[in-house]
Order: sequence, then C-alpha cells, then structure tokens
Amino acid sequence: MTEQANEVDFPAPEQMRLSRWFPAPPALLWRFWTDPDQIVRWFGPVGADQRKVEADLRVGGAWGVDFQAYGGLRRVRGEYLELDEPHRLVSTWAWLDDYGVKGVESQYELALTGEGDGVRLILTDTLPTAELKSQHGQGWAGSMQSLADYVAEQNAA
Amino acid sequence: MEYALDNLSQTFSALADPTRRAILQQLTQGGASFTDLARPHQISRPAVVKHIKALEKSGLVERTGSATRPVYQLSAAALREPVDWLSNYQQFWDSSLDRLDDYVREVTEQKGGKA
Repeated sequence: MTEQANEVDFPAPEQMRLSRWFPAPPALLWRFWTDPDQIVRWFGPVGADQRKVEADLRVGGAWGVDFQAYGGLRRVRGEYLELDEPHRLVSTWAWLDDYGVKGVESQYELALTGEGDGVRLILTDTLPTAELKSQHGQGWAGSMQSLADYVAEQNAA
Repeated sequence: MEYALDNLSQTFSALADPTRRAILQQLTQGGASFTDLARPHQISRPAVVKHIKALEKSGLVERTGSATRPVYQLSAAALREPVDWLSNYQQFWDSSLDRLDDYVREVTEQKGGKA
C-alpha cells in the first residue's frame, strides 16, 4: 500500500495545518490520540523511542509525553482546553528544557471529520502570538515556501 | 526543539503583513534598491519606507551600500528561525502521523479482514 502523505498549508503566518485521511472511524482515531496506551505507539519525531505517556482526559486536565530522540530526553507537556469526543480537541503544547522549565506555550487543534470510508484528520498548530491571530495572510504558503527555499540555498552556498 | 519565542514572535509580526512578505519575496532574487522595491506596490513611497523599516528592525532585511544609495538584502540568518520552527513541527507531525497511519492500518486490517 502506498503511504499517504500529509497535506500541509499555512492558513496564517503563525499557523501550520496538516491534513491526512485515515481508513478508520473518527472514534478509533480519537482513542489512538487520547489513550496513553495508544499514544506510546506513534507520538514523536523520527527515531523517537522509549515513550512514557500520561493523560488526564478532561478539560483542564494535563498530559505529558517523555521520549528519547536527538540523543537525549525530550519532554512535552500540555493541558486540554476543549474536548468534543470524537470530533475536536484543543490543547496547549510546551517543551520542557533540561531543567524541567516549561517553554512558551503554543496550541494545537485536532479536528476529526468522517470522510468516505474513513476520517479526515486536520491538525492546526498555532504559535503564541496573540496580536497576529486576527490577521490572515493571503498567499502565505507561497511566501513561506520561497523563503524556505532561500534559506536552504544560503545554507548550501 | 526549543526556540527563543520572543524573537520568533517578533519575526512573525514582521512577516504578518502581505506587503512586507512581497518585499521579502522580491529580495529572494537578490539585493535591491529602494526604487526597485517600491515599483510593484500600489502604495505611497512613505508607506513602503515604513514597511522596509519594520523589516530592518526585525532583522529580516539588512541595509548595505551607501547612505544615499542603500541596497537592501535578505538576512538568511534571521529567516532561519521561523523556517526552522515550521519545518521542525512539520517533521515532528509527519513522523507521528506516518506511525499513526501504520498503526491504524494494522488494527483495521486485523479487525475488518479487508485484506
């Protein structure tokens, strides 16, 4: 079976949105996304290993994932802000540094919508820049791509 | 995976405006004079000056050349931070969702007997 790639776009300068279709009902994706015993199976960047997950699934409840990656312990923490099983979840997101100090919080929103025989998952990451939230940049994706290309060229040079 | 988000949010503020993003895109083609930068925009010269100053302040654009004939250039170093933030998050989720997809298929194929 061919791997289905994520579709990525930038709805606003401080936002990144990923979209992907899964061959399963929304309820299954919801469980995989929120149950610690399931989260350990998939969470993390390339090479992530030895995951430990805790999740208190209620509004205001905390969750956390520890894992090994990039040659060290990585820890991410969050708090559930909205839970609408099995359709929508909003949570904060922050990395802990080596001393356990929480970095600045971003937010993500998970949306699960039935589509065909499966579910469309849309994940939106938002940077904590409140003054930007009202401004929806037109043509942002194109600009971001050309700027990313420019940085890559400069790195190569 | 940790970033100086204060700097980063300043950079994103500079990037939030469509005219400023257009100016940055012009500069990906190389250094340009004020006249070159102002030409494609349907706004007053003082407005263009304001945008260029905002970009200079954010560090995204650097001024070289003489005081009377300045040349504006993109700073790849200042751009790297927002580009890295986005690409790191993208990489994180690409990898997570790939694994999630494998797991979903493993479970549904066992249960549903679709294979």
